[in-house]
Amino acid sequence: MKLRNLTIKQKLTAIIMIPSAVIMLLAITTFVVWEQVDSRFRLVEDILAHAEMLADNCKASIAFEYKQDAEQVLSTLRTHDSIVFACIYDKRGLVFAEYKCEGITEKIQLPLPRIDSHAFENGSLSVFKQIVLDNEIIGTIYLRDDMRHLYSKLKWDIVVAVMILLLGLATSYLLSSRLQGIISRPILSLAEVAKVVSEKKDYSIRAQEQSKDEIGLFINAFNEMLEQIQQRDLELVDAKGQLERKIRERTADLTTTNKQLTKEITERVKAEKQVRQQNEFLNTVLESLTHPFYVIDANDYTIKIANSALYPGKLPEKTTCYLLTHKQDKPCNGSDDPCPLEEIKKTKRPVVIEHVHYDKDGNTRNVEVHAYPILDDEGNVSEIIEYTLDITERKQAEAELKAAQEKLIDTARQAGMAEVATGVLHNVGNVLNSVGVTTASIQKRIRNSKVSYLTEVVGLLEEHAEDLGTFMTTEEQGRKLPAFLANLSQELITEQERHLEALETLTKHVEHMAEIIQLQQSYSKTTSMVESASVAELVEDAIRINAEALTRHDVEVKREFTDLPPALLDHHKVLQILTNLISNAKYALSESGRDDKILTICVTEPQGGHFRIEVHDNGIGITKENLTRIFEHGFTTKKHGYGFGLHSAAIAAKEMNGSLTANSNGPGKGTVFTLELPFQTQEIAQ
Amino acid sequence: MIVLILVLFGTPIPAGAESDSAPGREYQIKAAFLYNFIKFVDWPKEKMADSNEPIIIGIIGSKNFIKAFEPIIHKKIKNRNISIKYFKGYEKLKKSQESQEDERQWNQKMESLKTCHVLMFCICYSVRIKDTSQIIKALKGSPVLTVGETAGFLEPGGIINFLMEDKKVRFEINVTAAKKNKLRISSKLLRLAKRVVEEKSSH
Repeated sequence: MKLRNLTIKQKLTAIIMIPSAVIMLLAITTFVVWEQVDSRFRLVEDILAHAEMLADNCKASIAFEYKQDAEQVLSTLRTHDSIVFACIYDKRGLVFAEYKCEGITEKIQLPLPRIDSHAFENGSLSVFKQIVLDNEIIGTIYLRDDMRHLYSKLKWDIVVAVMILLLGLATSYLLSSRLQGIISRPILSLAEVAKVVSEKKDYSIRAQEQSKDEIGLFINAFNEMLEQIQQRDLELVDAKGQLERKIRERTADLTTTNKQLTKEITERVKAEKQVRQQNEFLNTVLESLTHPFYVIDANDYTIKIANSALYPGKLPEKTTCYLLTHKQDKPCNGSDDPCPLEEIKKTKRPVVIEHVHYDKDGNTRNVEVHAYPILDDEGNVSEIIEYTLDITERKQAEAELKAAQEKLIDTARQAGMAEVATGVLHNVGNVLNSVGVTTASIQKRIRNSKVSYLTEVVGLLEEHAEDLGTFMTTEEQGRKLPAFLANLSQELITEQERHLEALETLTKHVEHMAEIIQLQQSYSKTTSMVESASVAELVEDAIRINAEALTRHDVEVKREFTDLPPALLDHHKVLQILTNLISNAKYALSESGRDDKILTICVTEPQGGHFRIEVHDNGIGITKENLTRIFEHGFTTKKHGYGFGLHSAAIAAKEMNGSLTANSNGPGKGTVFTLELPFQTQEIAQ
Repeated sequence: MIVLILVLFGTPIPAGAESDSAPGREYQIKAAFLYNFIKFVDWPKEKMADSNEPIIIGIIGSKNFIKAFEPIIHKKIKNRNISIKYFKGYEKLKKSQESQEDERQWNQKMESLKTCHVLMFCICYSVRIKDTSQIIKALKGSPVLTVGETAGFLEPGGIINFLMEDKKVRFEINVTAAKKNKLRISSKLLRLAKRVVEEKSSH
């Protein structure tokens, strides 16, 4: 049985008994052992004493070899009953004398003599003593004791010891079982109380203090604990109630939270799944993009995300955009190759830039780089999204288109030119009319020139060559000659003036034609002649060009010019337009059949940067329906018109960033054409 | 007594024994006995003062005894060496008071004898008891152990006397004489003696 599971009583008894038993055993054993040792010691001494005495007594016997005497001496051992044998050896080691105890019948093995010694052998004590006479060893005496006394003593010792032990144990048991109560009783009673308390859960019970030792303290403490427990119990019950309530509440909360959480989790899982799906989708989408699509870090130009169109497989870390697409070791710069990242950093807005990139096969391609900023929380550009559209083909197409366009334009221009040519022709035609008229007039004038009179005079002078002086002074004809010549010269001068005038007009016409033709020529050129001009002068020129026709048709020309600064424009174009307008006005006036044909030209500056030329006529006007149609190509109300003039005029005006409009109050109520142009004409790029 | 006489007559060693050839067994034993006697006898302190001095064994009479001592002569007794002194002709000594010179010589001789520890009267035919007793008497009071081998040796004051019994060497002791000579004889030795003579009245 385990010592641990005994009762207190048993334990305490055991505690007292076991040590005492052990101690007693120890003591007894020690005592017995001591006794034995001591006895042996004494025995040895005793025997030795005997040996000495005998030896001493035998000295003479041995010296004088009186065996009998020695034997007699030895025989005194008879009194000593435990000495069973004795003998004397002479100095040669032979037995000199012997003694045997009565009753010993067995043959005794005689040991060889030894030096002074004693030994416990085979249950006997053997003692050897050398017999010394006058410092000379004359023999050895040997005694053997069978230790009978010792053994019997031992026996008795043990018996007594055992008895003492038993007695002691009994006493110990009695005492301990009485004494243990001192300790155990209070403990047991306490245990009892504790048992009752724990069984009945009655914390009002208290243990009784029985002693003032530690157990007493323990009992006090125990009672205190019970007190506290009782109190706590009450509090606990109380708290428990509260707690239960709280728990209920909390559980409700928790359940709700849990539900929420579960919901959130499912949502999150869903969201994550969505995100994953979206990511996958995004990835798929990205991958589906055949265009390189990538995200660049704004700080170090490294590519963070890229689809396989940009780079198949995994990008090596820290690959920069410029390394990958431009095979450069630094970012793009310059106006040819502006870096989209830098642009975005400046503007924080998306940019589209054309670049030349190396594609994933290493070929150079024209690309349109579309870059979008990704802003961080502070509004700084953290990354940019770039995708590139390979516009090489587009560029090629564009180039082709441009070529085609140009060709078309060419064709158009050609057509236009044709038209213009037609227009020009028309205009030239107009002008040519004037030229024709002017030329006819000049011709007529020249035909009617008084120069013929000069011929007559010259004839006269030649006639009178020899006597010119007499002629001149005497002849009436002669006398009238200087005056006649003076008159003639005057007339001729006037003629000349008129001629010059007419020629000037003609020149102007021709110039104008040249201009018009040049204008036509210029359609085949891409450059235009933009020069500074006085608007008023241009208007005057246009009027002049049409002057003949205007005069012929009795058109009164009124001018209302505001002072304008010089304008920067294409003379010829403007001239062309004005000529056309005036011509049309003239036609309208002539068609009206009115007597008071008035053509008014107003030059104004309605707003900064633009000037206006209005050509008013009180001619036949334009019907409302026709107002929109007059600028159409091929539309004309003239009997012999081609419908080119206004159309090309309008085009020309548009080309100069201006406008040509018409307005009429109706048939018979006149028309006003308004040409508005900027002071600084800029050619629209063709 | 008869035994003594027998011994007396038996004692004279046959001529062969008396000659200076190998000593007889008897004398060897007697020498050994003498050697042992010394072990059981205590001399007075005065005699034994100087521990370097040997034990002097004087021999009067037969030289045979000297030879018998040869095996033992190198041994030590009481931590002293043994020295043998042979007093030639002393057996024939007679105390005469004829002249003072003689007396002086006698005394001188006696003094020389007194140097011995042991005096062995090695008797042979020629020496009679009467003669030896004079020496014995002269030595009375001096610490000399007188040892003889004739009957009647003890009566005049000899201390130890050898005798033969059944061809075995025995001895007898005169305790009183020993006392008179200031010698103490161990009881162990006395025990072994065939006869111990103790005179009530001292000489």
